[in-house]
Amino acid sequence: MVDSFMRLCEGFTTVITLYNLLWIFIGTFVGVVIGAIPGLTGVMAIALLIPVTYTMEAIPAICMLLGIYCGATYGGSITAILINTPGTAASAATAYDGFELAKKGKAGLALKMALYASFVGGILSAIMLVFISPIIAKFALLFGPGEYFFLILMGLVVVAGVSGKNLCKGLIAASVGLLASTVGMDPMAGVSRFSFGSINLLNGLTSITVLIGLTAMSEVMLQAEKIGRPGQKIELPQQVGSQALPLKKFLSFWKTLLKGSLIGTYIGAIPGIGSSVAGFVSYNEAIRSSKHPETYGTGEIDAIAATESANNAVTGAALIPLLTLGIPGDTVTAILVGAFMLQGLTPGPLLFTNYGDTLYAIFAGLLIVNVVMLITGAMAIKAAPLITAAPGTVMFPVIFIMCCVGSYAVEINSFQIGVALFFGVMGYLFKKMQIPTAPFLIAFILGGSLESNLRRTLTLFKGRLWEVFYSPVVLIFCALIIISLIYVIRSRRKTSGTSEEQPDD
Amino acid sequence: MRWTQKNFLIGCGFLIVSLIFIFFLIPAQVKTIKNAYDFQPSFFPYFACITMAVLSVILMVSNLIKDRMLLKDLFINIKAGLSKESLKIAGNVAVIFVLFCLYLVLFNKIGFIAATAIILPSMMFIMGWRKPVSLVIITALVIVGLYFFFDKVMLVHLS
Repeated sequence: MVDSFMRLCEGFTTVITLYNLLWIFIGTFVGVVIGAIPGLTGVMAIALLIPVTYTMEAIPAICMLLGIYCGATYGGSITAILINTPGTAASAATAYDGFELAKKGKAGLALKMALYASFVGGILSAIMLVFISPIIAKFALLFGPGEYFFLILMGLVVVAGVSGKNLCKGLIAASVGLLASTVGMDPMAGVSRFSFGSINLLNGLTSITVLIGLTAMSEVMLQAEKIGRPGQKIELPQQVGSQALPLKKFLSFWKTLLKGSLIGTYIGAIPGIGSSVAGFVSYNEAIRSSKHPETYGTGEIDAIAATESANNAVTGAALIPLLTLGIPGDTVTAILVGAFMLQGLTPGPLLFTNYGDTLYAIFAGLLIVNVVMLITGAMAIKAAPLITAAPGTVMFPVIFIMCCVGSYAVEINSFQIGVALFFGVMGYLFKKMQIPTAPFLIAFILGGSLESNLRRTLTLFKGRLWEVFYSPVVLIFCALIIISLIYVIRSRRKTSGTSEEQPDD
Repeated sequence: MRWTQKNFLIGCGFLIVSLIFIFFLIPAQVKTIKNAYDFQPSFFPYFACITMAVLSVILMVSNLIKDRMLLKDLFINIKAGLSKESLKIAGNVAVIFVLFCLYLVLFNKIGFIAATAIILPSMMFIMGWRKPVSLVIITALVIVGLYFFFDKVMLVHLS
């Protein structure tokens, strides 16, 4: 560890040059902007900017791409909070409490918490990447499909916590989400399901398009109800600006931030899981350990700390399997493999031996990326009042157009606009029926992985599913699931005396 | 209409949807295959739909138990719910939905620029923005901004 620390210090001396810092700033800024735009992802930005790195040296090239990755993961929270449209799937959980806070006039507070929590998560995972990546990589290798299944099931338990006052409706929404996740090709047998003869549906529904429809387009339809009605004004949540988040108040959330960062780091180190799962698992843990779990979903600042620290902690941790084992953890790191190899760095166990100095300079660059993200994020928060100051009668149509273009950009196919519209109508109807959309989203995002891992487990164990419980990791997850369910049931019993829905018409 | 009655109707709706899936859509859209240890491709869709059906029945029954008078004045309350005000609201939403669909059709037929030039100002006008000069300026800025950013910077060709 002392050796790693000394090498990291040498890395800082290498990476801190004006040239490198400029590229880090460009990458992080581009990442934050791209992440904030619904429909655009860090993957797209990295894929587009890789050719720019052909003529660059390894350190500025990789650091710029890491800046895009970290910036985009944070950037999704900006639109999630301001207009209830997560820029990326990773920020889906942030939207629930973030937008509620914005409606209460505390958007500035929510944005600042998202930024600082993302910084903490990113820094902690970067530090763990530097000092204990081989240990974490060993634990990550313990995961087979059975362990994946129970980890994702743990993420699904949050459905019970975000179902609001009517658990039955929340579970109905979750079952609709699970059904929606089965559209496309069967993950094991390759047969088409619910494609209705359309090639466009063979790949399934993309989570970004569904998110855009369910959140933004349904909100536009909801605002349209106010047209021509006296006393009703179409408007965005106001008052971004001046709420401070003093350091003392921020540090009072240290438990949530630490737990979120650890959850995100561990989940990020496991190939194939991703930051949206980390966000939901951390959200669930925050609900479980809260004294007032009923406040989650109504504008709880702790929820933002949990989700944002977890999803940004994935950014550093996703590099662990990549650099130690040569296994990319998600789509972004799969593209980064190409970037590394372009620079002559072959990811794998020998990378530390053969290119140790370059690698530690990149680690130092990752730490600096998170600091730069604080600066670019603060700039974005300063610009946020420009969005909320605009009249709703202008902003909502513009949001609609941006969402259509964002949906189109996902697969360069106008069919995706139709998908977003479909889920926009569904989201609107859910809101009118007071069916929470959060359980739908969670089940939809996690459903595909849940099914494929369950079925892989069955195939691996030749149908003897009980053998998966021989794994200590599975038993730990089962215990955590049971504890979470007990806490959720207890907290629902405490609040069950209050009235269910809005007053009758 | 009371929320117990609304929930009862919501339960009915989801029960009908789940039964349609179970008896018609899943058998039509999902093939069965021969495999030794794995679930069938239709397992998860059936699981989701059966869960939906069971939960819908629970929702209906629980609201019937809460409100014994639920069915007695249900149809009267449905009729009362179709007031002028609620029809006006539905009309507003329908107009916006038609614009949404029109945008999709025009996007395919005449491209992003023309479709946005027609639909964006129409939507702003319908929502209540009545300043024609700024309507044109905002439309132009949005079209130019989005076209430049997506088409030239992100290389997502919009035409």
